[in-house]
Amino acid sequence: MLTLPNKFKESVEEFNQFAKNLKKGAENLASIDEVLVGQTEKELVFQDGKRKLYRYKQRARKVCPVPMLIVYALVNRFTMLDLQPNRSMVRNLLDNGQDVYIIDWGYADCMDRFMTMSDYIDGFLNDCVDHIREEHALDAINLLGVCQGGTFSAVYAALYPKKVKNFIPMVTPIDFNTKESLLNVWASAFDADLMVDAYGNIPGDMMNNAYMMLQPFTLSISKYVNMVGIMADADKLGDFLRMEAWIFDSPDQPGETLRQFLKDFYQGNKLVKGEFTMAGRRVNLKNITMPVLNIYAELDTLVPPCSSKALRDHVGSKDVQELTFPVGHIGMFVSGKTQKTLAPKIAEWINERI
Amino acid sequence: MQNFFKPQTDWLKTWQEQQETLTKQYAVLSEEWMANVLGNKKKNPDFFEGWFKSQNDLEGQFKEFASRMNDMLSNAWGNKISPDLLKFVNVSFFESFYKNWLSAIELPGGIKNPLGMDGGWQQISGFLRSLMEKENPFFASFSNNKITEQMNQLFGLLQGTMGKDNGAFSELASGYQNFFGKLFETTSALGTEKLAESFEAWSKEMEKNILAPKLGINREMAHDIAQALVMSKDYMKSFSKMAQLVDATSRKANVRFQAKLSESALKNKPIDKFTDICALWATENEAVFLEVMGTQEFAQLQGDFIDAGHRVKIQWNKLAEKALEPTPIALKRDLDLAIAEITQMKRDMKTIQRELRDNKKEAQSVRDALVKAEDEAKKAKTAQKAAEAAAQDELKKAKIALKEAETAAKEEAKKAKASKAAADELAKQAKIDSKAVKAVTEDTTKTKSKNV
Repeated sequence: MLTLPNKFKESVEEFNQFAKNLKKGAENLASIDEVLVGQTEKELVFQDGKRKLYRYKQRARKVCPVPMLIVYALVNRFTMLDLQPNRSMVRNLLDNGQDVYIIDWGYADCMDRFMTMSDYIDGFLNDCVDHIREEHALDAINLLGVCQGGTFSAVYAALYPKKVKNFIPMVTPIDFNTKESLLNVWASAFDADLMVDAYGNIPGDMMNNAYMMLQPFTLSISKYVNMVGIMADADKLGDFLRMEAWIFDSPDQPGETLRQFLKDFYQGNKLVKGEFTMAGRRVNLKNITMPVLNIYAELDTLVPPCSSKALRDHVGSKDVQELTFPVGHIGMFVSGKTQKTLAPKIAEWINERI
Repeated sequence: MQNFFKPQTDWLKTWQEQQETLTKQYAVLSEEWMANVLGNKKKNPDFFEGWFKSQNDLEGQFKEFASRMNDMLSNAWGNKISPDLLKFVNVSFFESFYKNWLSAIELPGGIKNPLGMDGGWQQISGFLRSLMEKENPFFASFSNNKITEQMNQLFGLLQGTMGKDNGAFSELASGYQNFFGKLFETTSALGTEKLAESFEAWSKEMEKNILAPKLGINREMAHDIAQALVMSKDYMKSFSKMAQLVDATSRKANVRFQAKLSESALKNKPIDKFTDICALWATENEAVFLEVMGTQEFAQLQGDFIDAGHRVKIQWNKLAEKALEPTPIALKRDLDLAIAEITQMKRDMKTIQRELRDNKKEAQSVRDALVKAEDEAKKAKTAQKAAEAAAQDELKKAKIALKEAETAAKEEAKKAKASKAAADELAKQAKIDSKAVKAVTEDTTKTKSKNV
C-alpha cells in the first residue's frame, strides 16, 4: 500500500506513453502509402499459367557461370527471401556473384484443386530447370530449395540427378517421424482425406492458424502488445508491417497436393523409408549423388533440426556439408545474424564446386 | 487520406493535453488519498467523488479515443494490411484493458469500485483470456467458426431452395441453424455442454419427426439429415472436450501466472507495467499450453474434433447438393468433375507438349547430325579428290620417272652395248694382236731355229 501513489503514477505514465506511441504510430501509418515486399529487380523469363519463373538482375561484376534456381514452398510466398533491401537473402546472393532464378507458384484457386505433387515437380519445376539449362547451355544447374520447396527439390534431385549440379536444401523437412515439432505430432492424428474432401483447397488462413498455434501467445498476443512500443519509430513500424504483410499473404493450398504431402510425408514418412512414388516412379534419395549443402535453423519450431539433418543418412552423395545458425525458421532469412554470413557461405561453397 | 488524418492528429494533440491534466489531477488525488491513509484520517467523501469522477472522465476520454483511433487505423491500414491484422489493432481491446487496469488498483478495504469490477490481477488476466478466446484465431478455430459460418450460409441456402412451406424440413433446418448460431457464439466449455444438452433433446424430437414424417418430407432427405444429426452430436461432443481442456489449461496457466506475480512481489520487484504483465502472462500461458499441446493425447483430441467438424461439413455439403439437384444451379460435384477433367487434360497436353519438345529436340539433333555427316562427306569427297589428284600426280611423276629410268636404262644399255662392242672390238683386236704375237713368236722361233 505504501508504494501505491508512485506505482500508480508510473502506471498512468505508462498509459500516457502508450497513448503517445499510438498517436505517433497513427501519424506514421498515415505517411506510409503501401507496404511493399520483394522489391529486388527481376524479370519474368518463363510462365505457365499462374506459375512464373523470374530471373533477378545481376548485381556483381563476376557472376557464377552456373545459375541457381530457388524453389520456395507452396505455403506463403517467396517474398520472404527478399523482404526488404537490408533483409534479403536474394540480394545477398546476388551481391555474392550468384545468378539467381526463383519460382513463383502463384495463388492456387479452384482450378488447382486437383494438382498433384507431380504436376508441380515433374511439371513446372522440371520445365524451369530445362529452361535455365537451355538458356545457359548447361547440363545441370544449382538447386536451392526452401522448406517444403526443399522437400520438392529433394524429390526432384532424386528423380533428375543429372540436371542438378549442386543441391542446397534450406530448413527442409526430410524425416517427418519426429515429436520435436507440434506440427508433426498434430499431423499424425487427423484425417487428411476428410479435410481435403471438406474444403477442396485448404484456406491459407487455416494454415496460418496452425503455424500461429506453435507459439500461440507469443504470435497472437505479445507481438501485438509489443507493436505499440515500436509504432512511434517509422522504420521499425515499416519492418513490422512488411513482416505482417508477408505472414498474412497466404495462398490457399491445392487440395490434392496437400493431401499427398500430409499422407505420404507427415503421416507415412515415405521419403526416408524409400516408399514414396510419384507418377509411378519410386523416389530414391540415394540417387542424390551431387554435392549437398544442408542448411538448417537450430531454433526452428516448424521444421526441427533433426528432420533436416536426416538427409545426410539417406542421400548417395559423398560430399555432404551442413550449415547451421542459431535462429528460427523465418529468422534464417530475415535475422540480422544471418544477413552477412549466410549468402557468402553458400556462394563460397558453390564456387568450390564449379 | 492525409485530409482525413489532419483533424485526427489535431484532436489527438488536444486529447493528449487533456490526458496530462487529468493525470496530474489523478496523481494529486492519489497523494491526498495516501496522506489520508498514512494520517489515519477519516476519509473525505469529496475525495472519493473526485477519484471516481476522474476515473470516469478518463474512461470516457478513452472511449472516445478508442473510437477515433479505430477509425484512423481502419483508414490508414484498411487497404494496406490484411483484415486479420486489422482485427488485432482494434483499440477497443486497449479500452477494455484500461477499464480493467483502473479497476485493478487496490482500494482501501470495503470501497466498491465504481466500475463494477472486483479488482485484482485476475481481472487483467481474465480480460486477456477473454481476448484470446474471442480474437485469437486458434481459439476461434476451436469453435470452428469457418464451419459454423458456412453451415449458416448453407442453411439459408437450403431454406431458400426448399421454400417456406416445406413444413418439417424447414422447421428442422431453421432449428438447426439456430443451434449452430448459438454454437458460434459460445466460447466456454460450460456453455457448450448446455448447448449439447439442448441439442440432444432437440435431436430426439427431430428423430420422432423422421420416424413419423409429416406430409411432404422427403424420406431420403430425412435419412441424410438424421446422419447429419449424428455427426453433429459427435462434433459437439468433441468441441466440448476441447473447450474443457482449454478451460482447464487456462486455469492452470492462470494459477502459475498468479504465483509468478506473487513471487515477484515478495521479492519486492512487483510487475506492474502493462507490457511486463502481458509478457509474463504470455510466457506462462505459452509454457503451460505448449506442454499440453505437445502430447499425443491432445493431438488425438484435436484430431477427433477436426475430423468431426469435417464430417459434418461434408454431410451438409451433400445435403445442399441434393437440395439443389432439381434446380438449374451447377452442383459443386459437377464442377469438381469438370475441374478434374480439365486438370487431366492440361496434364496430358503438357505431356504431349513435352514429347513434342523432346521430339523437336531429337529431330534437331538428327538434323544437326545429318548436316555434320554431309559436311564430313563433303570433306571426305574433297579429300578423296585431293588424294586422287595427288595420286594422279604421283602416277604422272612415276611415269615420267619410269620413262626417265627407261631412257636412262636404254642409254645405259646403249652404253653397255657400246662398251661391250668396244670390249668385243678390244677383245677381237687383242685376239688379233695375240695371233699376231703368236705369229711373230712362231716366226721368231722359226728364225731362231734356222739360225741355230
